[in-house]
Amino acid sequence: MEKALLGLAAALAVGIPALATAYAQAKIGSAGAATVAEKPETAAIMIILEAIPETMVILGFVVAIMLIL
Amino acid sequence: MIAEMVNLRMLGLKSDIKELIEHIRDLGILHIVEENNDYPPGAVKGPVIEKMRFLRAGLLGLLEDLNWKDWDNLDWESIEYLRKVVPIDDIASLEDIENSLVKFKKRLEEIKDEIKALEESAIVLKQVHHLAVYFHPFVTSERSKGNAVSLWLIESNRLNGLLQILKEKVRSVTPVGQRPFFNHKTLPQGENLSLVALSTNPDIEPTLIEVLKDLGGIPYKTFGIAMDGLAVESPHKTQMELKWLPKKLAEANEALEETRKEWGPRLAALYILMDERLESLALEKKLIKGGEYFTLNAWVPRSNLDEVISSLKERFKDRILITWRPPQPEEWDKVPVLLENPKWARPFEVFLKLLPLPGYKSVDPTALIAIFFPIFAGCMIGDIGYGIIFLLCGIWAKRRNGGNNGLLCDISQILINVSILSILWGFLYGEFFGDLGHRLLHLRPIWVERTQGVIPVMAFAVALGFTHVTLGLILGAYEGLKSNNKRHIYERVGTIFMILGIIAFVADRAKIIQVDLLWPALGLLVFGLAFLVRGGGLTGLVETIGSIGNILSYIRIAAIGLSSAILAMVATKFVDVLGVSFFGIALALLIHLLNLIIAIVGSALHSARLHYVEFFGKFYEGKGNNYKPFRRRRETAWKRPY
Repeated sequence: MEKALLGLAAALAVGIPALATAYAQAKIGSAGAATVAEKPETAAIMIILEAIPETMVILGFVVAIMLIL
Repeated sequence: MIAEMVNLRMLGLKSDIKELIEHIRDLGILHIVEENNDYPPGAVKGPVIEKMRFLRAGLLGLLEDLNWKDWDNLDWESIEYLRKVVPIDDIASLEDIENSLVKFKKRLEEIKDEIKALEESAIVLKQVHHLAVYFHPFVTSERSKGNAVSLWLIESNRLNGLLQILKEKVRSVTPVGQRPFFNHKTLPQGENLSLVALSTNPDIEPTLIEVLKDLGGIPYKTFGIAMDGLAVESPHKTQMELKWLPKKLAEANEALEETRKEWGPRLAALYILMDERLESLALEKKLIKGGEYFTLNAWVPRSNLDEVISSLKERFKDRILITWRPPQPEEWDKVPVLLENPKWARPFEVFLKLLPLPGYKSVDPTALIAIFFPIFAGCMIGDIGYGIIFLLCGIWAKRRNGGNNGLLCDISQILINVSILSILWGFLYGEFFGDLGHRLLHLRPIWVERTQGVIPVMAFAVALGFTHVTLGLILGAYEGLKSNNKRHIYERVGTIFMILGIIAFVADRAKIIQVDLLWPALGLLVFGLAFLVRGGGLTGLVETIGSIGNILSYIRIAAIGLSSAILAMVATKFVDVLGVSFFGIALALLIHLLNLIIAIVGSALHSARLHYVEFFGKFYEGKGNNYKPFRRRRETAWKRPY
């Protein structure tokens, strides 16, 4: 039972930040695509902005690994 | 590395200016500083310049009409040839060119009009032929009986009622003793209209036409061709026309294509010639400030200085005075930036092209990207099999490009570097298409199996992150030192101390090493805090927390690598479950293909992100001006001008 709960907790630790990251990236991505279409020189800045929310899911992954191991 | 620049100032005779401008254009090294702002672009005027601008726009229009777009393959020798044989400096020559262009435009329009007319005829003839085949038997049969036949367009929903009215009308106007005659044949045209051939006695045809017009019938004509003329009576003729029309159309298109191939490059070369000459004329106007002399101020890479001076002295002897000096610190923000990296690092300059260039005398991180980017991406892919595939793709792309310098060549070289590191990491992880190497070749990891030992890989990723971020902070402190920005120095040094202190503290508490690190850790934290408070107060602490987050962000290297390794194992598992069958192998290959794409795209994007966000954020400031030498547009320098 404890193992199952730990598994669930680890899944939530990755899953919830993943949803949040996906939501943020969707918003940034659509705005970024429009910006790059108008100003191609902003491509690198847009990649940076698009990549920023990923930190949430990486930290979630760390927590999940710590829970499982 | 950022190339060292020298400011070159030339003083010469006004009579030499044209020759000098052409000479420095041939040299293609000088970045000209435009000091005279009395002439913004477009403000330089004169009859020759105006005419040249008009012709340049006309040439672009002609190229557009001609649909010629092969700028990349334009032969620069043809421009050199034109430069020698076509004078463009006097109004008479320009008028001659204009007359020739007008004649050319007329000829081009004739060809295009012919093609358009033939295309339209083909459409009409196809339509007419279809109708002719349908109505021909009816029309010929009725006419042979002495009846009059006419064609009408009538709304389909009104057709039956209208025909009934016509029949009654025919009956009422037919003389007593004669039998009323009315016949018709219908062909639907789309959803709402019908084409109707009406046959009646010639005596009552005018009455019928009048009635039909009153009721809204339209006499049928197709683009001016009367249906009851040539086509209906002889569908064979339309068929013959349809046979030769495509041939004629092909001939006209061929003529247009030949004109395009022959004249496109010539017109483009003339356009470039005019564009260059206009640029030179504008520069001449800007350089001459009155009197008999001119001055020209330009930036030259130090490595090219001797070449430039000797070339100018050889050409103009004592008629030119040249002085040069290194840039002063206060003008560093105006000095153009030219990246000059060793051959092995040069392809990675592409990462800086997506950002504003670093300022003059700043750190050029290209060499560091060339070292770290393949390490990060290789660590994420970490598979010998995938590495070999990427290596082959990279070599193929590079050979296909024929060794030409360009974006594709740079990307193929980056792919080759990443693939080599992927193979090396593959040996460390013992992966060859996931666990296939272990199953078939008994491949063993030199270091650790990723799917079993996540913690060591994560720890390594964090260590890599610590190295990378600390290197960024050191470079940031160095930048602060060069620009004499004390706040910058204190902040960066304080952050380094704080990070070291935190790591020592964690290592001591977690008993990672058997040395008492508590006091050194506290010492580092106190020193770090002091520097941070001296540097930027509380914002310095935020910087430290951000840097810790940046270091943890490198765990993505382990996370993405782990997902790639597991997906590769899943592919092999399909063969286990479904057996060595076509379906099992096909599914495994499909998953490997998917994994390959995810691996290369994901690893490249995340490695780029780690550089742009975590590394560059510590020191990089894009404040440099691009080095734009004044040169001829030739060979790979061609750009589509619109």
